[in-house]
Amino acid sequence: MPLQVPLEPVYVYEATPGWRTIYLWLPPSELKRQVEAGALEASVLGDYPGGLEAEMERSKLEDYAQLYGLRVQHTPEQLHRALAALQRGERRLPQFGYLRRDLLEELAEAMEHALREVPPAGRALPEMPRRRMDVARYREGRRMRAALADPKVARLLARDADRPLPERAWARVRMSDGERPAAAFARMTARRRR
Amino acid sequence: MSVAGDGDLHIYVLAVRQADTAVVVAPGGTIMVIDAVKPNKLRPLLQDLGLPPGGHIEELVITHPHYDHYSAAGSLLADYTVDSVTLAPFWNAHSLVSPSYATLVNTIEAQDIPVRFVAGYQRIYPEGAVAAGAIDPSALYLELLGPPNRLTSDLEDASMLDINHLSIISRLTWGSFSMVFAADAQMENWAAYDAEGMLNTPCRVLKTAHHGSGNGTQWERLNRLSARYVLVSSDPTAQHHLPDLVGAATFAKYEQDGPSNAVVALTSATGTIEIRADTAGHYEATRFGDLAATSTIDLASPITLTRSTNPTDWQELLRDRVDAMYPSP
Repeated sequence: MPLQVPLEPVYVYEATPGWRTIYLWLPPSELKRQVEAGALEASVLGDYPGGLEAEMERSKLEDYAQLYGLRVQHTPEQLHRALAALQRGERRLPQFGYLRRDLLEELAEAMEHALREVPPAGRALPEMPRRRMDVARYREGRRMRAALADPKVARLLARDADRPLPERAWARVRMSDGERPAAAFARMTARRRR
Repeated sequence: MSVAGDGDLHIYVLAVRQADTAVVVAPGGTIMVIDAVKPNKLRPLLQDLGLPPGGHIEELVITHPHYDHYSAAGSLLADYTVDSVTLAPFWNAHSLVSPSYATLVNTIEAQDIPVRFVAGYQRIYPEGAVAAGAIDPSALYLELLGPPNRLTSDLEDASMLDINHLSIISRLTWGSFSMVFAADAQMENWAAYDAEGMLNTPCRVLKTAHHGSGNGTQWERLNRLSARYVLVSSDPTAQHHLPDLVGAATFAKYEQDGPSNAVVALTSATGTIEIRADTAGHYEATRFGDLAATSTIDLASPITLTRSTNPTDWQELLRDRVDAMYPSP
C-alpha cells in the first residue's frame, strides 16, 4: 500500500529552532490543471511528474518563475511571518506538518494588513546586545507583537487553538488512501532482507 | 553499462544554488547519482555524457529527505532505468515525510526498484569487486555511512532530531583517490563516525556538509580530511545564508592554513565542477560557466580549477557575513 499524499495544494513546513522552511505542494493534478489553463509551462509536468514542492524562498521561486512561469500570490516573508505567528504561544506546532493553503494565506493577508498599520520601530532601543541581527530581530519582534494584537489576526489564530494540530482546521487536508511512513519503512526493509 | 567509459573516473558536482547534485561516471561507464535536483540541468548533462532516456543509472543515492536533495529524483525514475536506490531511514516518531518524498517512495515501490535504507555502514562496488577470479583491490567502491539508529533515537529523545541528521555521508574510493560527499551532515553525525574512527583518513576531494553551515563544517574535521579540493555547493544569497559566518571563516582559514595547493570552491561562483581521476592516481578539477541554476553545462568549455582560476572570494564573503551581524564602528 502506498504512503499517503495530500490530494490538494497544501503548505508543508519544517520548523526547528532558528530554521524555518515552507513549501507549497502542488500535486500532479494541480500542475496539469495549471498547464491546461496556460498558467504553467508544460515542461513542468516532465520535470516534476510526481508533483512540485516549491520552497517559499526568493531565489528558488525566481528559478521556478523563469523555467515554468510559476507565480505565487504571497511573498515568502509574508508566509514565514504567518507560520511564525502560528508557532507562538503555548500550543506550539509540531516540528513538521501540513497547513491548509487557504487558511495560511488568509492569516498572511491579515497580518500584512495589520503590519501596515504598525508604526516603524524607530531608533530608540533599550539596552541590548549590539549585534546587527539582534537589533533587526528586536524590531521585527516588536512589529509582530503589534500585528498579533490586531482583532482579525487574533481571531484567525484562535481558530481551534485548544486542539492539537492534526485535529485543527489548519491541518484538515484531503489525503489519498495509504499507510503511515513507519509501516511502509518496516515493510520495505523486510522485503529487502528476504 | 551506462555509457562508454574512458577508463577515468569523472565526478560532476552541479551548480544548483543551495542544493546538491553529483553525477559519478565510473571508469567502465557506470553512472551513479548522489542527490538529484534541477532536472532542467541534470537531464542535458546525462545526455551529453552519452546516457539517453531509458539508459541505466546503476545507483541513485538520496542522502536525506530534504527537497533540495531529491527534487529531480522523480524525473530520473520516469526517464531512466534506475537499478537501485539508497535512501536514509525515515521511521522516526515525527514521520518526517513530505508529500514529494512520499510520492518518491511510492514510485520506487511501484517500479519494484531494490531500495536500501542506510543506518550504519554499507559498501557498493558499482562495477564489481572481482577481477580474474579474485578480489580486485583496485576496484572502485562507494561507502555509505548512514545515521546510526542510536544517534537518531538519542536526538529524538532530546527533541533535537531534524531531517539533516538523517544524512548519509558517502565516500567514493578508487585506488589512491577518494572523495567524501558529506550531504547535510551535522556536527552530531560527524561525531558518531569520529567515535568509530571511520572518517579519519584524508581524502583528495571533499563536498562539504550542509552547504557550508557552521554546524556541518568544523575546522578540525576539515583539517583532518585535508582535501586538496573542497567544494561548497551553495548560493550565499539564498534565504538560509549559507555558508554562514562560521562556515565562511573556516573556509577562509583552510585556504590560508590548509594544504598549500588547496582550492576551496563555491559552486555559485565557479559553476559546475568536474573532478577527473586516472588509474595512475592523478586528479584535477575543471569548472564550467553555468552560474545560473537555470542554465545548462557546456562540457566543451572547461576551465582548469586552481587557486589562481578559482573565482571564489572567501575573504569577501567573510566580510559580508561579519558586516551582516555586527554594525560598522
